[in-house]
Amino acid sequence: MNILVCLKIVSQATFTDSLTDNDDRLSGGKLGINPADAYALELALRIKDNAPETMVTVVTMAPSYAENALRDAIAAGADRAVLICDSALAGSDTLVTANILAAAINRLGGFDLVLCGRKAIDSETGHIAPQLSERLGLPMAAAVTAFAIDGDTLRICCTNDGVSAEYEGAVPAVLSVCNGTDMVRSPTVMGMRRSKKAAIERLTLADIGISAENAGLHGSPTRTAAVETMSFRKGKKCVCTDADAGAQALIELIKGGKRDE
Amino acid sequence: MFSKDSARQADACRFCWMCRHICPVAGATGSEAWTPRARGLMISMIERGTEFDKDIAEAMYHCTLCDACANDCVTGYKPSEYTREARMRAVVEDLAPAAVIKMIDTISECGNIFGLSAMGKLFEKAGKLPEKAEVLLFIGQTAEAMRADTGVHAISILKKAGIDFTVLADEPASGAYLGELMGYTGDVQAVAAHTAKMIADTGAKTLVVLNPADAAMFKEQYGAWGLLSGIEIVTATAFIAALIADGKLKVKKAGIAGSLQEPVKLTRALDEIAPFKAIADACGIELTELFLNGKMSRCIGTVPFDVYAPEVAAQMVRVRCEDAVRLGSNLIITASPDDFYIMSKYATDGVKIADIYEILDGLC
Amino acid sequence: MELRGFMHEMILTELEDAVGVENVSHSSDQKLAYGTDYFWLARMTVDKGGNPALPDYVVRPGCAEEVSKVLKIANYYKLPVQTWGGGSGSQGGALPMAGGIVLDIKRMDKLLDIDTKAGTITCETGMIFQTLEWYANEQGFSVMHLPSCLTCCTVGGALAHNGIGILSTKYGKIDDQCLSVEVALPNGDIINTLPVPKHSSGPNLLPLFLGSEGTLGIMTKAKFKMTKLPEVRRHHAFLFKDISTGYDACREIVQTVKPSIVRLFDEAETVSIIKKVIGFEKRGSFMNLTVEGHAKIVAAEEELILDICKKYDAEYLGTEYGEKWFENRITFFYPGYIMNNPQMFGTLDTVATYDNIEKIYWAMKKAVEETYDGVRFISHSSHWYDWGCMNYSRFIIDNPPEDQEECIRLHNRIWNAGVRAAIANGGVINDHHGVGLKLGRLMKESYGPAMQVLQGIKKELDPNGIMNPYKMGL
Repeated sequence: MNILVCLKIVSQATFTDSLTDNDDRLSGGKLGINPADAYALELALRIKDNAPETMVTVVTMAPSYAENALRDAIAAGADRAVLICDSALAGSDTLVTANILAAAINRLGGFDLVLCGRKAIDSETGHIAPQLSERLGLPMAAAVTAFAIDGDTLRICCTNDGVSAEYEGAVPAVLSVCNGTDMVRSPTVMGMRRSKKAAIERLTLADIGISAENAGLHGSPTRTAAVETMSFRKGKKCVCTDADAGAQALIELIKGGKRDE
Repeated sequence: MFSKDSARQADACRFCWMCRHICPVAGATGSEAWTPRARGLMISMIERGTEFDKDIAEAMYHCTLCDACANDCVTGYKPSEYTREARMRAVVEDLAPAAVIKMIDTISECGNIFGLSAMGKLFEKAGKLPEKAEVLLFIGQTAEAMRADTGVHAISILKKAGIDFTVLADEPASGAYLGELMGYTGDVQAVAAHTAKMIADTGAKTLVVLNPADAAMFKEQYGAWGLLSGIEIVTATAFIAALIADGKLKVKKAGIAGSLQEPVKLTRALDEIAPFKAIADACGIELTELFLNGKMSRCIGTVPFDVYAPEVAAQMVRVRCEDAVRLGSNLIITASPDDFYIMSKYATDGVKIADIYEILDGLC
Repeated sequence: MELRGFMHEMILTELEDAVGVENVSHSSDQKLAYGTDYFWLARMTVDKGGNPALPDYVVRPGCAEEVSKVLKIANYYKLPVQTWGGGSGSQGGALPMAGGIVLDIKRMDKLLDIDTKAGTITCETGMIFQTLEWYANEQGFSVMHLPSCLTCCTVGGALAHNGIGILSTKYGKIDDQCLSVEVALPNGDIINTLPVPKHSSGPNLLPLFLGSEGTLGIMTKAKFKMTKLPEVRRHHAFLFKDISTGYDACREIVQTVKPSIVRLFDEAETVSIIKKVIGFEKRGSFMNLTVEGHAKIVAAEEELILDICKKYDAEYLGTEYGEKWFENRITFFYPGYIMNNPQMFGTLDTVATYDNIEKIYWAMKKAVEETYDGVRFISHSSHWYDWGCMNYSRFIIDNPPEDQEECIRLHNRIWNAGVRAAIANGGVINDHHGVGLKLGRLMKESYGPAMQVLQGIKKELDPNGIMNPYKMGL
């Protein structure tokens, strides 16, 4: 069994930290693997605990500083780590990221399961898993809290709004994994010793066959307009019975940047 | 070599000395290398090409992780974080001091830091306790092995208060000491997972923790690992102070005067100051407040630190005794089995060390 | 002087014999700790991954007698001795630029005497200054010496560079507060200055050692006067339309009454640092002031101060800003608030009589701003006398050259320009940070023929030239 886990490296700054602070105070917070992704990795490693021949690969699209986090993943038990790193990737939105990941996954090839954390704690879009499943042409289950391989059958438990449902499916598949409450393993001393010698494979845009125009800020159909601390006030409601008119009104609202009409 | 977070904090601390005055190891020894800033400087230099060698690893271990520095820092940096990570790297790279490696091996062989095979002496002294109960009292290695009396007195106090409680017959380590020696690695996590299971298996709803180092470990690190959720974790001092306040313990007043060595894990790591004072007050102790108290309480070493740097621990205890004597006090009262153990070993002539649990047990 | 073969180990044995095996070291962690003090060029060196100057031996004596033994050994082998207290000096004065021995005084940290009747406190010089202040506080007193490095510097370090605290306008500089010292001379003799600092018993030895920056001997004990903690301490803030008006007003204030703190900021500093830490939004020349002592006297002083400020059309900003400044006075120096590498920065401080000080401010500003495009210059005057005041001017360059050599050249050029501008207009090399390594080259031109007096004393006391070579121009 070949499992790939997509990791995002995020900053664990809390909402009380200043977002516009430019000095080197505590803005930025700790860098680490996004909690839901770490949980997905943990679930993959538990499969490996019971079936040691399982191969677990981790991949991330990030600047060079992500190497430390990838080594931690190897120290926790991952077999292989891939870093997609290219200066042209700066500013990539979720669509571009999904395209890049899909291209890399296709190049690496042969995975039975592709796991993603459901949402990242910084942007919280939840886009990557569904976009990846489209690009890879694979079925996807969302809000996965547990899964098991039973011969050829993939058994999945999905939990939404406190209601759990169980599904059966087949590999290969993409699973969007919710962050759970079970303990996520930390790297052991032995694991860290092993990971020191491990090679982190690096892929550039050229390696995965994507051009710079289709990457980074330039290639992204969406971009972050502003990062602000939100304050909420009561405002007028907008009621539309016509879907097109309603959609148009919404677009005007968003473009206008007004939030209380 | 270091995580981005440690590198960033080290870069902030390397040219700043603002917390030097409050570091207990630097204060007791007058050392320059054994300061938070020197460690930050070393890490920042390692990140820029200097070799991380055995000497530098020594400096990383001459710190008691007491967080007096973090408490002082206006900006909010926490040197103990990069110091802990440096210890982790030192262990991984085989650079840690020999005494530290020996201790880690001892822990993995015997399950405790003292290399003792028989830890059950406590129960001979404490008497019979039920199999299961609502409240579990966690004694900790030091009280169990080295100062069995502290545990015995705590048990006696809870019995006198009529509390339905028990202790683990084969109490495992919390992992606090191992975590101090190698950072919070998966190895420490494995110890914690095992201990958490043993605690949960007793069905106890409340965990009363005698040793502040264990309490800090349970509350912070176990919490971060998702362990012991659903169990209320209370320090023994807070639990007993509440018993006194609720009238479950009737305490006579003693006619003694003394000073409190407030455990740094209580005041700084757990933000707890009032309970120890309340217990002392209930015992009628006339208090002379020590220099550097409360959130600034001066650390006198930890049990692992005392094993690999006993001369420094001795100096730290002597400094604390001087603090008492300078203000005319010759009795220091502890609320931590570790503090009691270490201070009793090195207290200077003319200064007595007493354990609050022993005092309280004799008065109720 | 060459050391061949196992000579290094022979010297080590002698040093261990003098202070104890545990108190001599040449391990890498111990040596690295002394490679960097607060001097910008030392910081830049390690920030760029360069090699700092490191000592051969780290020696930590526990008492004056041990210091004496070490000095005799050093003289015999002609080993340089660099004395290190807190290492928080900004002028590179403690750096082991000549290798040899770093002599760390921090093991000599005992409190020797505290006399609440006489109002004196005596200690060994290796004590951290904050600790001395705390001991005085325990008895209801204060040494009244509160520099920004209070929590990191030693008593010895403060004395060695003639330091100043924020309350100096009322209570004096450290050379006003120190009554006597015990000194280990370079030849190992231990001497004492006279029991009092003011007398008519020959030229005063005390000021010879205060400010000598480790070049003439090592101070091992010191006695200070203490003052009872004030009954009241009140803070006020004002806004003047410009710095000229501010200077006139503050001069009149300190020539009339004795506030403990007077801090006058130029427009640039009013806008930047003050705004960041206190949240102050107006333009002009900000001034904060503190009066303290007996309630009756303070009330009278405040009345006079408010009258003077009114005369100069100052806007009274109440007590809030002044209080906030006092509360946050140390905050400025923590990471995230203070400048940090890769920025290049430094404090040009000088002192002059009132007829010269404003001229000096403008001359330094011009000289520094002309040296480099993109240098920021912010200034304040924070220590005042009847006869004059000091000026504390910071320069900041956000993006200095990448190349180390170019950086050093630019750094030294700015210092030359600024300090020479001060000297040319009646100022001096430095007010209260010392000369150290940074400004030693300017001593001769500043003193002129008077330099021979200092050189003569140095030659006599330290004939082998082992005491802190390359520092203070000696």
